[in-house]
Amino acid sequence: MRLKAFKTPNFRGWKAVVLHRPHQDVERLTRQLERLGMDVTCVWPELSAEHRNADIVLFDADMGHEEQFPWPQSDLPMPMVALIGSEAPGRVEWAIQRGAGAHLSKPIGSTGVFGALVVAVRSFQTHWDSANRIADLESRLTRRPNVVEAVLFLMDVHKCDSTEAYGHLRSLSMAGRVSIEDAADALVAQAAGQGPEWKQGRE
Amino acid sequence: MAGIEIPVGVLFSSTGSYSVIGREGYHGAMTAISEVNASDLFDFSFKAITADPACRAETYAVLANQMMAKNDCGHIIGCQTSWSRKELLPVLERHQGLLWYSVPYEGFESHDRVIYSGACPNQNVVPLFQHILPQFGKRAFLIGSNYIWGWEMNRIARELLAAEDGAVLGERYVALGDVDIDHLITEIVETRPDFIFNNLIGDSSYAFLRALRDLGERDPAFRPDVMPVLSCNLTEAELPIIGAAADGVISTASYFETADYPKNVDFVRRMHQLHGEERGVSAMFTGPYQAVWALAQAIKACGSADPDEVRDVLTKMPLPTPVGDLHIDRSTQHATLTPFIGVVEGAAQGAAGRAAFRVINPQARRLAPDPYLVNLNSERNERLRDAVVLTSEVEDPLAGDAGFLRVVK
Repeated sequence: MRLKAFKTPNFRGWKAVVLHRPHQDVERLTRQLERLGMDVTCVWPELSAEHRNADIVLFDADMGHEEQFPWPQSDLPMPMVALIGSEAPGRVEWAIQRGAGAHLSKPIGSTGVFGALVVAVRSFQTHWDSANRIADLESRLTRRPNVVEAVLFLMDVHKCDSTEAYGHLRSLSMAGRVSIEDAADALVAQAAGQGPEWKQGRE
Repeated sequence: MAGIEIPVGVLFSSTGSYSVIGREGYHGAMTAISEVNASDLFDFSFKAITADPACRAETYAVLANQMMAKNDCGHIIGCQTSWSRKELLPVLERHQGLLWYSVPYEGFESHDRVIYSGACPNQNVVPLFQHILPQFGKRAFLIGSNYIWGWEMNRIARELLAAEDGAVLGERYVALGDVDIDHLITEIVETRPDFIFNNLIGDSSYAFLRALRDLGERDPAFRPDVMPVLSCNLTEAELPIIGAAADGVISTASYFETADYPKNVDFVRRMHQLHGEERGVSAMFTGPYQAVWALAQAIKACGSADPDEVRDVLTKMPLPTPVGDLHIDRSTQHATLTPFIGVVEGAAQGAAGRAAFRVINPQARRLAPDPYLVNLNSERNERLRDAVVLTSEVEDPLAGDAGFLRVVK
């Protein structure tokens, strides 16, 4: 059977790091994670740089604080699950800011772990899919002036209207297998008397 | 322990929509309790505390709470549906008791307070499909009752078929107890699948099998030897109710009455003496039966009925029972089981004999439990790709000893 075709979430072999002081909750959590085939490391009081390579981090939201994390809040290197005992709004807010995509309520029992992992991983993927898409769209926005310039250039060369000129630009981008923006950049550079830079513009 | 009487909860539905299998479970547990009490192996006895939740999920927790709080039961043998099991979990946590749950279920659970001795998906649907697909084809029609069992079993079936480049020609659900299934037959006639995976339960399933048999009589292309119906929970218990329409259904179970090994021959003979020849022995009966015996053996081994002590000891040893040893995996608290596959024969012959399963995979081996299917699939992790193996096909480390689960060839 082609194993890759399976879509059932599978955490076998994943490196999980649990950031929590020694406690029965940690023992129960570790047992559940190991039942899912994960390699579990428990650390306290703080994460070290090597934990950046973990596939998932489960952290204590009750006694947790910024200094425990060797990366800034904005990084979000892996999916994270908050272990929440106190549901005080400030703690929940901090857990979210710190990157929790899901949470488990303490006391941690035998239920909820698998579901929390699936939710955390999905929200992590969704976060990065959106972030990458936004970054791409923003970059295309900032490069819009060159697209306009390229269209004007092509209108002049082909003696045509803007719609047709845009069609030419799209043909160029497809032929060169580059984005419209890259094709526009190259054309503008060419028009400015420099050589074509298709390769540099490749994505 | 000498002379003490240990209360044990027996929680099966003897009335209500799925009471046919509930009564099997009840009889299995009660038969084993009287055997344990009559046996000179043990210096204690069990006192059965029974209750009938009548197939109403919300009743289970109330009755279990009474068993644990009032009657001092540390152990409950019972539950059929996942729904009722989930209802019991908070009660078990509150009283730190153990539930002995012994029917096949859809997996994706591993609760500290539950001993799972029924098959999970790597022990039923996966080996069933591995056996059937090469023989009948990969174009399936999936049906089920509209609740978690049907949804999850069909979801796994869909993935197995996708992995095999097979096809799902239809997937339909009907409400629990609904017997209006003509639309399913119409769709099956239109799509002509290679096989049907049936996760309907109770009356819906019986109605479907009867309608499908009528279809097969009209058109041989839909006879079970051409287009079989597969099941993961049809047992001997339901064959008398279904009658001729059960003929040819292929089911998988960790126990069949006809499984051919010495202990089972004796066991079946004894059960027939006890309950009558006409009554089939099924996995629905042997599950709770084995659970009671395993509980007794574990109590004997650790010298205490305390649920935590019992749980600690029972994963460290094979638990001998009259129908064969029970092995509980320490990390998941699920049983190692043999996925027998059987085809129903003799159902259409009326009074000439009793319907039974003919085991078609006598080469079956015991499989370690894998309730989360972690050893079967791999969604991600490129660096781990090479490490992924189908451990369900790897040599079973326990295959060498002579327990009930070893198949006699």
